[in-house]
Amino acid sequence: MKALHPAQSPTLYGMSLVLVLVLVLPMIALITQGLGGDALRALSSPATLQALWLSLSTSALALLVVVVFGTPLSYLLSRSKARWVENLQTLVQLPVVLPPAVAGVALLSTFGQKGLLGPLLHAMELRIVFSTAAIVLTSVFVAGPLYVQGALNAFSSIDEELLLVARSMGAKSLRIFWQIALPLCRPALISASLLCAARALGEFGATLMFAGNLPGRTQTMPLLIYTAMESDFARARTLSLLLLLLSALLLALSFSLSRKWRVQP
Amino acid sequence: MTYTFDFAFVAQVGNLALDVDIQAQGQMLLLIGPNGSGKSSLLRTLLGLVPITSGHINVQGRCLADAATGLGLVTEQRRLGYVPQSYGLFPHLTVEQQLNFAVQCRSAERSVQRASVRNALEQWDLISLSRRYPRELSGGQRQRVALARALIGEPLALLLDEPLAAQDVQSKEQVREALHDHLLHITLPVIMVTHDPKDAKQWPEWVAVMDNGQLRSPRPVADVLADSSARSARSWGFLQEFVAQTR
Amino acid sequence: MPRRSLLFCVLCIVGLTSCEPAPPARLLVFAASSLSESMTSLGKTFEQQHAPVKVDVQFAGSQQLLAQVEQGARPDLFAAADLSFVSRLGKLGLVKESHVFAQNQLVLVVAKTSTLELHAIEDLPLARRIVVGAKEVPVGRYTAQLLEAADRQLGHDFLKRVQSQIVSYELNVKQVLGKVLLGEADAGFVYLSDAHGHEDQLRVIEPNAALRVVAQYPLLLMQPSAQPKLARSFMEFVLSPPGQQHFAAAGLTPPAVAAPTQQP
Repeated sequence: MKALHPAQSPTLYGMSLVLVLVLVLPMIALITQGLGGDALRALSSPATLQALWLSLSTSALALLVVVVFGTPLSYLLSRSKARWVENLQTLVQLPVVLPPAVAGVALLSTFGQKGLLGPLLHAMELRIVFSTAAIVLTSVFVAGPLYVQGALNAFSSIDEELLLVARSMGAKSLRIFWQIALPLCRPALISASLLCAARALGEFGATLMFAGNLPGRTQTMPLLIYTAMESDFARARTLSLLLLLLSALLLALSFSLSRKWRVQP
Repeated sequence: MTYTFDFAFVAQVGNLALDVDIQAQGQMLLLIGPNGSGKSSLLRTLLGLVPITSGHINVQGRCLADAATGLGLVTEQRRLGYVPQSYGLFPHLTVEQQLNFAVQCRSAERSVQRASVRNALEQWDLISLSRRYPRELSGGQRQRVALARALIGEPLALLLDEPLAAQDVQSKEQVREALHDHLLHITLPVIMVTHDPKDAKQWPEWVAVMDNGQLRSPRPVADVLADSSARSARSWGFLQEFVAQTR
Repeated sequence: MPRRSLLFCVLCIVGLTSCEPAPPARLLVFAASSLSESMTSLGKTFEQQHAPVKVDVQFAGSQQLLAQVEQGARPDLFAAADLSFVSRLGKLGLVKESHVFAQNQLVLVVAKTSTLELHAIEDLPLARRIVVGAKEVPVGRYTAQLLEAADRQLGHDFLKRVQSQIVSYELNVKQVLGKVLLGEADAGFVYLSDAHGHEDQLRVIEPNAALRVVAQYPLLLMQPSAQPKLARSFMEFVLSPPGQQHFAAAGLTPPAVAAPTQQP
């Protein structure tokens, strides 16, 4: 006997198909057109390997910074019931929706020679613009909020009863954070950090403005692709495919872990 | 062995008056009342989540809160054992780890901790279950773990919030019997919140009725039955129902 | 809705729309970003003289515009930042004619607030942060040309020493300028027209005659075009004295006397 569910309306299917096509076709195009004859040479050239290493290492470092400092932040935001906390939450999420150019201008206005911290950095003989550190900083700025939001959601959904019981036993805030909250939320936190890493990997616009473009020091994969586009579109396509596959991998991992997150009590 | 309860509990927002002196040893107080009468709020006030605006809370001679002097201990310092409605076992810790957690919060010495945990495991017959996770335990087993964990820190009193509400119908009776047995061996004051009359059947000693945020002094069930001056029709109806089923 | 009234509505709509006047002729011009001020004002003047014609100018790096043409875009005219585009577009069979309409000299700019003693190309290794264009863009290729010539002339590993001080290969000449203006770079190579208007903030160093590199800007008349006659008058306007005014105002120099196309 066939399943008892009514068939979904063809209209709904049709409309969904439109969006699926718009989202998926460009990626299919990349895959089919990006695997040309010169693909292997493009992928193994020193410039590519350099850019790949730079992208991976700066994203990893940015992720580390975000997780170490963002986890306590998300935890505190989730525990607090004060009104101004909601405003802080909005502020902290803002960089995600900023256009890359705005983010770039904002970072320059803060850490540049003529920026807010310019004189201080100058006095400490630190120049952030055009350095590898600038890439890490940019990634923290644009991708950090993604982690904070995910972690915040995870911490907010911990059963209040558990926390109350722990407190009644005499557990102090730090112990509860470390031994109860973190372990319970671990899958969700990992999922959020993978999302953050994927975003950091793909960061381009603000990085170009703030960190510049120097092979070996600041030329990340997206920058290499953009530069390649100026002279060799086929090469750009192949490199884009590589970045697409990397990002897809991170995203898939993130989703499968977040499914595992629905933990049994 | 007496309870002195002097409740004038008015659960209005920002106006919480409570006068509680809990001295009894080994006696249990049943807190009954219809849903919404404020039983959970009372527990939360005792635990320290809600500040009182007048009155005081003393447990076994220790002052937990005093509106007159402004004293109000935080939850962590009140030393009250608490078993919430669904037992509140940490899903990611084994039975032994649950007890470890509780004991680490109180004492610092490793050897003392280990001894306490070993003792508790024996006392509550949990040794064979020490490596199991809460999801692998039956309802009755979970109850044992929750009680063991609440008591391992040597609290001043034990608070139980609807301990049998989470049980499914088949095992409820069994678990109730087991709970009765466990509580017989406890010498601490115990306050149990419930709306199930069958719980009163087991412990028909001291009953306090909560009604619209008001709490009447605890007295034996017989007295409660005889009292016809119930404050609200709803409460009286509930009480009659309750008593009828308790018989 | 009864069929007859529906038919009536449809006829009205068709009638009304067919009564509208034909839309104005439009010219699509692709122009290198270093021409943004000059081409915009020239386009507006042309519109006024040939109303109601509309001139749409798209500005971007010449390389980006070429990529768009390769992917199917068909502008009526293409104003590029170097001569190599003549052959690159010619190879695609899209060029009817081309003429150099302006020149732009490559210069070194230094922020006026800088304390470095940079007064000539030879002093360049003193700068600790130099920004240049990437070789994928015209300004980058010109810069490389100049630096290589300087290396031959000055010796002493000039090129190596300069390269070790380069902190970024920007993909747009405006970005190079921007970094120097912001104080992030000590020195950068831009076109004279880019430095134009920023004399209060920048010191402009023109290389000596032996090192001088001049970008030649060709205007290409493209084919096929929807408006061949109009496109031709646009080109003629660009080459005429009143048209040339716009480029001079932006700091560009007129083409060398022996006018038309030179192959790079």
